Amino acid sequence: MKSSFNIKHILFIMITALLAVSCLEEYTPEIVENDENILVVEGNIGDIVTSIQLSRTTNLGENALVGESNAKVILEDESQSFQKELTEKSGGLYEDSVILELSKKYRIRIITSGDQEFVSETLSILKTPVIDSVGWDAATYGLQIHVSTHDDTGDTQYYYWSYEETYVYTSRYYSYFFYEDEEMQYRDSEDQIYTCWKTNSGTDINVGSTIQLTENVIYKQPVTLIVPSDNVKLARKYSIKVTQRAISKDYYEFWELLKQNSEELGTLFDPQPSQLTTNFTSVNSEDDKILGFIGASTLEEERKFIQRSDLPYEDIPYYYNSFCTLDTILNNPDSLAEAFKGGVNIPTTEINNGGIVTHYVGSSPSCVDCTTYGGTTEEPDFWDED
Amino acid sequence: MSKLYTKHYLFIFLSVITTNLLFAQQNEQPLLSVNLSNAHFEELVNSIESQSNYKFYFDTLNTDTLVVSVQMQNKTINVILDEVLKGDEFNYSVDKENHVFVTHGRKIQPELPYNFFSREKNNVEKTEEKPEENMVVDYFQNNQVIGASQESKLYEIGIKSNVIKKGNATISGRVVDQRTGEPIVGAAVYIEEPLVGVSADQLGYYSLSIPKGKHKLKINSLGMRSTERNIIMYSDGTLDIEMQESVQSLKEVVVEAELEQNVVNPQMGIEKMDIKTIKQIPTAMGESDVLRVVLTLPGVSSVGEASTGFNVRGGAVDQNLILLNDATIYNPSHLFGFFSAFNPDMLKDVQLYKSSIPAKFGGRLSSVLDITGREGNKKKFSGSGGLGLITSRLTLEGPIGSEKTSFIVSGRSNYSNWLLKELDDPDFRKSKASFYDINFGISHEFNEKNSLFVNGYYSTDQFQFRNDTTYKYKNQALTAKWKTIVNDKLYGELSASYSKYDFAVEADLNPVNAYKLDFSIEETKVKAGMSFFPNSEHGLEFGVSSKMYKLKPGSFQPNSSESLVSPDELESEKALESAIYLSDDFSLSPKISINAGLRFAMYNYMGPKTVYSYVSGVPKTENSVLDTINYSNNEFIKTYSGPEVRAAIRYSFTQQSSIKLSYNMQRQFIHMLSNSTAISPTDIWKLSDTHIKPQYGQQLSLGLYKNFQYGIIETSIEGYVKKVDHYLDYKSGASLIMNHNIEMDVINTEARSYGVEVMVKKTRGKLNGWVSYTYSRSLLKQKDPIAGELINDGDWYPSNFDKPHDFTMVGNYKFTHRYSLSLNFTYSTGRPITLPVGSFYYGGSERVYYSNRNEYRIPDYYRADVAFNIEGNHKIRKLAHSSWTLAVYNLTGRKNPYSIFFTAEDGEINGYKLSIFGRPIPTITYNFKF
Repeated sequence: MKSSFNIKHILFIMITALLAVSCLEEYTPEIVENDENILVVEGNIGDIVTSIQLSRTTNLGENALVGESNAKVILEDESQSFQKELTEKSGGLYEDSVILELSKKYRIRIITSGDQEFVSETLSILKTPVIDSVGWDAATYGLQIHVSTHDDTGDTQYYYWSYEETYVYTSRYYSYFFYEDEEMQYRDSEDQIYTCWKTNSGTDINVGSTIQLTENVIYKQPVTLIVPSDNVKLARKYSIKVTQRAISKDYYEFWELLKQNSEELGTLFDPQPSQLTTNFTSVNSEDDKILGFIGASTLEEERKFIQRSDLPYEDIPYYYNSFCTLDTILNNPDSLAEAFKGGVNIPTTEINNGGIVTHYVGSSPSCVDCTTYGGTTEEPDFWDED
Repeated sequence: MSKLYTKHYLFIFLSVITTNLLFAQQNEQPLLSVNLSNAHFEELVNSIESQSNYKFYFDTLNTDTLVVSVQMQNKTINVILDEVLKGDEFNYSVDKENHVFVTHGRKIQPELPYNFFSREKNNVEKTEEKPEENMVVDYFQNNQVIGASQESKLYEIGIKSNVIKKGNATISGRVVDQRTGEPIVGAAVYIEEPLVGVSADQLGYYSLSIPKGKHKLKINSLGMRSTERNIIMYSDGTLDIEMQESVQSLKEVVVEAELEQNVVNPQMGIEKMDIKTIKQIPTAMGESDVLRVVLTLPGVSSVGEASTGFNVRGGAVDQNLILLNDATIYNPSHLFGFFSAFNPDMLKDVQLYKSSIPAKFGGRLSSVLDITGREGNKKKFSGSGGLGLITSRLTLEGPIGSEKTSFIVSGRSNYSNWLLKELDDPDFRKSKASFYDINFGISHEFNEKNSLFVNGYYSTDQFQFRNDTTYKYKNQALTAKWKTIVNDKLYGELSASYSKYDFAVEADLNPVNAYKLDFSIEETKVKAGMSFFPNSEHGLEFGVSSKMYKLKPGSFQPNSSESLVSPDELESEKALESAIYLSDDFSLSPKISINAGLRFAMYNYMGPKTVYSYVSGVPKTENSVLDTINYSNNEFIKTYSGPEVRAAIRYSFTQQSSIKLSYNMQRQFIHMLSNSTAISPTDIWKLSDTHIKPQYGQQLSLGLYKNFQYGIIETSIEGYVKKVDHYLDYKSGASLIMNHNIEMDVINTEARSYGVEVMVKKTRGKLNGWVSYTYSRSLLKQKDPIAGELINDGDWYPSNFDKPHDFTMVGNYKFTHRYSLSLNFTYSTGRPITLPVGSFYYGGSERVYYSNRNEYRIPDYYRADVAFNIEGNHKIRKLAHSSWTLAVYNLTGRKNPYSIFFTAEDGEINGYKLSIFGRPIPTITYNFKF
């Protein structure tokens, strides 16, 4: 609800728009290197799985998740009668399946390899209401995916949503051959590189609250917006899994702050950046800094499929690369090697003249190999659920 | 008289007569000797006047390019002037009383022909049949004749006697505009020996006690041609003075300050500008803009090119009191700050007080911007207007019934929606933005001692983004003012005003969340003030004022039948702000003058209201609420009061140079809640209450002033130190709208600023304008121990508008009466910014970690603008007089950053620099007047 007051962002966009004379350029400030690498914590204590990600801040532009490995991350209850050290799954991700009691309060204790110790506040595990529906509205400015839910008990007033989207796409041409060991070989259908599935995690922060409403209803809360004209996501079939979590007021405010600080900042009408809060405290020294919040709640998920044929848009592109051409190559070893060796091009079909293959046809990988765009050729398990 | 020159054949006839006259005079002409090389024309004049009783009349605007080299002994004036003025298109004539008129172009005929008036009717008919191209009327020459005749006359004041007794006598009267009959407020009326002077009051009346005898009474006013009267004082008496606009009927370009006011007046930091100065400065949108011009003054800055409001000497935007005809204007901008809310056609002048704020003003810490509207033309019906690419405006004015009453009404509107429609983005094509404003004024003169003025103002803005959320805001103001003259030493003014600012935000795209948010602030003010001039040494001002604030801080309501939004309304607020003041402007000696003022301000925060009390010594949160107290209607909840000292002293080294020192104290009971870099129309105001203390500011300034060439060149250097307590800042992530307990989210901040302003100004001549340089700092510090996390660890940090170096040049060159060129150059240090210094991954994306607040700066700002003004020709029978302004804003096309921001896109942080006027912007405006 808070975001409905975000007039300032709109104001700023309007100003930019009003003047066709405005101009936007990329900008990289000159900044003194910052040696301070602060510990960052994110995660959730769940009734079934507890997962904590530890990382460090980096200099701007380094653009990588620097996981904090070799720390002890301990899940414990208030009285410390129950303690469980979480296993590090991959760089800085500490996760285990532990069944917890909803009636009890838990917390996380972190001891880094550098002997900094932090402990979170104790949290009760919030019961997340079930998602009523995940839906979409096809507006002219884009496909708006939204979620609706309600809580009859009235316990939940703040929500956090994350999502994972999966979509299927194809390359421009189907490839029946592959060139290997200086030879043209038939491609089995299991090795196809024509159809790919790609999965992305949401990058936006989605929080909502019912605090200003008379009823505990979330109606069509925007989750993500897909602009059809420049998005292959909707080329054939698209799927989104929305995960809903009930969160505390403090956690909600933390997300709002983070959202302001990173998604809408720097224009004249935005609030000045603020200091991020944390629900951890340092055990030994006030100088040990930590950033981030953890929550404690059950999870609710809902998946939605959208077919291209469901949508009113006419300008959805079919392929990532729409500027593809085919080359016809004489079927002799030198020509084929020149054209296909080292994957410069990938063969698609042959030209067969009365049983004799006279030519092979090929194109660049971006037109033939769908994995060029980061997808996988393996169909996800859930793909035909609808 | 003006008709004289429209009559062609009459002119030839006249020439014959006057030539004869001149011949006749030659016999008695004295012989003169002149030795000059490469001298100014004025030196020649001085030389001749010192040898004879010739008196010259000429315009320095024309003659300041004239260089004289002449060596002549014992020649008549005609021989000398023939030689000097040959080939320069200058003419001269000499009348019977030895007045010498030097003119550019056409020659003046100093005498009327015999039988002239009886023949006039005939002549009119004849010339109308054959209008000819060369019947151009030059108003300027015309006026020179009229002015000269008045200036050369000796006025006898009082009852004539053969022997003039010693002692003083009082001369009083009224200064008015010759053309419109409007009083000339603030006109300086003075004699130079001894130096005694006053300013004309709000009705144009002046009263001056001077020694009996012969004097030259000088009269100056901004935008008017300076004039003088030769008087002989016998006893108390009256003299009314008519003044002319610098160049009549044209939107002339003249910067003219109140002559020597800058040196003589003990008060400092006062900038007065008339509408002509305002009109000459090029703007991005092609329309003259008061606030843009104010921003070119030393000590005034803003956070960005198109932002609402301005910062004076390191003060916040809400610390400026903006008065339009005495009524407070809460939002002085249209269209997100691209236009000021004041229609330039309605304005008469603008006065900015930035250090010595007179005791009659109060309630805001930084400055007072006093904007005065024009009175309607009392002599004839007329109109004016302008057409631009985005806005148009129209003003009508004229007498009602007799010359006692006049009206003026003016409207302005924009049509920028076509611009939005041109854009590619469908979101913008569905967006709308519009504004308009209306002004009216009625003035009525009951008699020569009593006048009534009524002024109204209404301005509104509306914009809608993508068919969804609509924003509206409006200013309303109404003032009624009665001015009275008790006697020639005591003047009074009683005024009542009402002003209101409100905004509304409506969203209805999502029916379940559809809402409407409203905010409003109202102010009703009554003010009575008197000016008393017991003698020429003292000028007293005293009065009382009281205003009632009514504030509706927020109402949040469902906006559709399906909406589940729960209605929420913040409790209204009410307060009374009252003050009494007394100030005296007195001269201890000709060298020392003091302006001492005392204002006592009292503020009462009133019920009905529910107020929390908190446990002391710990942060105010929901957990530290101790008690809830209910106050009934009009019950005083909290009272703040205190004296405010306003003092200034001047010491003159010479008539042309002085030093001044001033100390100023202010209290401010109203705060704007804003935690963004620039303020926006939906920032809300808050009254001081039990928990939020009034802001308190003090300023000490010291300045040196020196004029050269009789005030044509003014130079000054002013330094200041300022300190503000109880300035508001907010806790991280505080939501300021619909906040029931804002005291839980505010932090008391201390502010300090200091700086030096240097200015050189050429007030008159073909080339005029000013150059200023300012070094200033504006710093903030949080020292509230119970605020929790302190910004920048409680150290001093720069405010958003801290721009240490600022250089401005405003220049205007007049080629002829019809063509002039304006050039404007400005440079300033980039404003401070908080930059991301580190990044981390969170919530699926890269996020940023910020530096200390305002630790870095955006790149420096500079811009050059140019405007070319073309006046239409001045044929007398034209239906309308018109002018064109061709301007280029940001001539060099520098991409000055408006904002630098960082945003997470697809999981990565990208930095952007936005320039809103990133290339030269040409504009064309057509103005007309009929």
